[in-house]
Amino acid sequence: MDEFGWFSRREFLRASLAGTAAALLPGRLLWGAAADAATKVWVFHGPDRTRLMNACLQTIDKNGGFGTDVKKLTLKVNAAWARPARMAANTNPELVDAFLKGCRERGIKELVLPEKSCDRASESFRLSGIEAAAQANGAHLLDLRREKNAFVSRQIPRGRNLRRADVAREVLETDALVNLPVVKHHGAARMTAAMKNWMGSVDDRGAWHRNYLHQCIADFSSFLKPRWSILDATRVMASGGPKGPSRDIKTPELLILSRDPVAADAYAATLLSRRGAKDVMYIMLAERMGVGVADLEKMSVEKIEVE
Amino acid sequence: MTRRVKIIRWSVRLALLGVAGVLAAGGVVPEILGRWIPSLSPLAVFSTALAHRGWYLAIYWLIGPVLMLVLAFWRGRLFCRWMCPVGTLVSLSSRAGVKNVFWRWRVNASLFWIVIVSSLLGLPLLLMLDPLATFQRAAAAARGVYFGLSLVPGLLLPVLLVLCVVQPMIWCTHICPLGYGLELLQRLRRDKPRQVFQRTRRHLLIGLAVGVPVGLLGRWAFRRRVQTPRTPILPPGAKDEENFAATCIRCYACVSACPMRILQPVGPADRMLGQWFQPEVVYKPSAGEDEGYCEETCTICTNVCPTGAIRTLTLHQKRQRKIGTAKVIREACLAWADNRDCMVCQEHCSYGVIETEWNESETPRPIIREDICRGCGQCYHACPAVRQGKAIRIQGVKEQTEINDGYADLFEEG
Repeated sequence: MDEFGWFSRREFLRASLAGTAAALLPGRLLWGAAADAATKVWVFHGPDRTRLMNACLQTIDKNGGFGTDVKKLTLKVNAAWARPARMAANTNPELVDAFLKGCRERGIKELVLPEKSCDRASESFRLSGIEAAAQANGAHLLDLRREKNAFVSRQIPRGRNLRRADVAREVLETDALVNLPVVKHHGAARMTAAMKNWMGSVDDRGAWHRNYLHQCIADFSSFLKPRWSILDATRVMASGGPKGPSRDIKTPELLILSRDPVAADAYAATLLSRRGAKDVMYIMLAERMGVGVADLEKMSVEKIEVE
Repeated sequence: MTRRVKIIRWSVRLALLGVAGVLAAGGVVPEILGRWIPSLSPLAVFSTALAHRGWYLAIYWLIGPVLMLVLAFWRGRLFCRWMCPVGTLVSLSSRAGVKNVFWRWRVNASLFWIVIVSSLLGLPLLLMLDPLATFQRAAAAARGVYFGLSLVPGLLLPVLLVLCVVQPMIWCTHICPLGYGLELLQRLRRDKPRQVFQRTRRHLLIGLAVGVPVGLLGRWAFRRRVQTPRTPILPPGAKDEENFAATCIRCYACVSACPMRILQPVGPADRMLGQWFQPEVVYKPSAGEDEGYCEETCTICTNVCPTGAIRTLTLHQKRQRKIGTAKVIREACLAWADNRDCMVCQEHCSYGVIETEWNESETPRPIIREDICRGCGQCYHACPAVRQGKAIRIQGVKEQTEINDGYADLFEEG
């Protein structure tokens, strides 16, 4: 449709309108707009997940925290599969536990973990160990399928293929939104980590598959801006994903943190393929749309060793 | 019977009817308890064991039916009068009706011998008439888990209650084969064997005359594969088509218990006589999000079956069990026909049996390894194709096999 001038003009108009609207919004809804000159990615390495997460939380504290006056925090984990933690199909429950504990220590009252699982929710939540982690910290792991009125229809202003989506209310109406996905191989998307994790917070995933998956993932990430993305690369399913069973499980023992989900995904992609982000189309598309930075040269990567 | 005994008896009956109702209906209590009622019937349990030519259940499931036999040997129809939930319902409806006797011919003895003789031949007939299975089945019907023609067996209980309005107690005294069996046991204790034989000789002959030809014919049909055009998908743990059809008493405890709601009694269409109304796995495109496929981590139907028609499987055995085979319909497939990055089937496959083939434009396309596919239907359930409907079709297998995919150890701990 770019061949027709008027269409791109319309897109331009839409984008500039959105930009004007964004400028009028209160600051805390905006996402780290050009605070640093270079996009920052922190990479924590170490064998102990609790310590990794604690180090990560300290870095978050030093870089603006979760925002001001945060009463409610929404955490999007990956608890989509009825698989135990050792099979690396879901976010590791130890990380979830440490993160939620950290939130409690920082005085956040309400913790919500919305998830629309792929396997049956009760089995996925139980076997992944995330249900237990949420319960231990008084957080609410929310089964989006059972919840009434869980989704609200939203326009995706900059979306090319995905123009409208029914998005989980909990990820929209919150003081701070944090993405805590697991990095792994994915049969259709090549890799799943930060950006693709949002598919677990929309109602109709099938539409994305029918309508060019990679563009839809990029479209949605132009719409939803989490405060932080923390990527679990402590154990990585390197092939046979996203559900497994897979014997190809690597243990990079990493936690990747960034405000920019595109940068975080681009770094994570290097764990799965030599060409990195160039092999994962949606990362490239998101960069082209200006959602974030995919070029490792253009971001500052800080590596932190956690004993 | 004194008034006091009468009051005690009715209180016991109504209380037990209530308990049976709760057990059969599930909901408040775990679904797995649905097994207890049909498991008590010695007729159902032992005649299916005869048909199996062996015992396939945990040995403690013998306790109930053996106690029933002892009780009957000692007191005959004590069970019928004090405990049987169908007996209680029949008594209640009999009180409401006229007090005439229109039908004098008792068919219960003949029915009993038909069941026994055909079981010996490996294909029990009319086991559906077992009252405890009938009760459980009606509970499944009441929960609305099956529809259409398959409702026929579920309607048996209401129909015989109406019959009892016309002629009091006709079910218990004239038709029920279990009641006759219990009575026969008591007679064995009280009378001389010769007398017992003389009284039941005619019924035994009817049993032979009906049971032998029908039993043999049924088995012949199975062996000759006077076959169903579409091989049914049976619940995991079924041995083969014939054994399942023969030893399933249609109590539908599995149908009620299945959390994914894929088990459903099927009508007589496309099925041999012995297979009528058996519960089969039916994958529906309209299934809800948390149901509609045979879940990897579930073994409940194998645990509720009172007769071993569905063998008890461990989680490990269930993972290995192949109940069907999935096939990709390429014309309907988003990847094969429309060149989309989809692979949702591969994504959802619990067993890693879907491989990827890349085309020239780097689009991944699914190829199912049919030899190790379990036929669980999760790919079918997840398939997002809509243009021509779902792009997956699941077919039944003649005999369920165990697949060793080499991943078993990954699931062992925890």
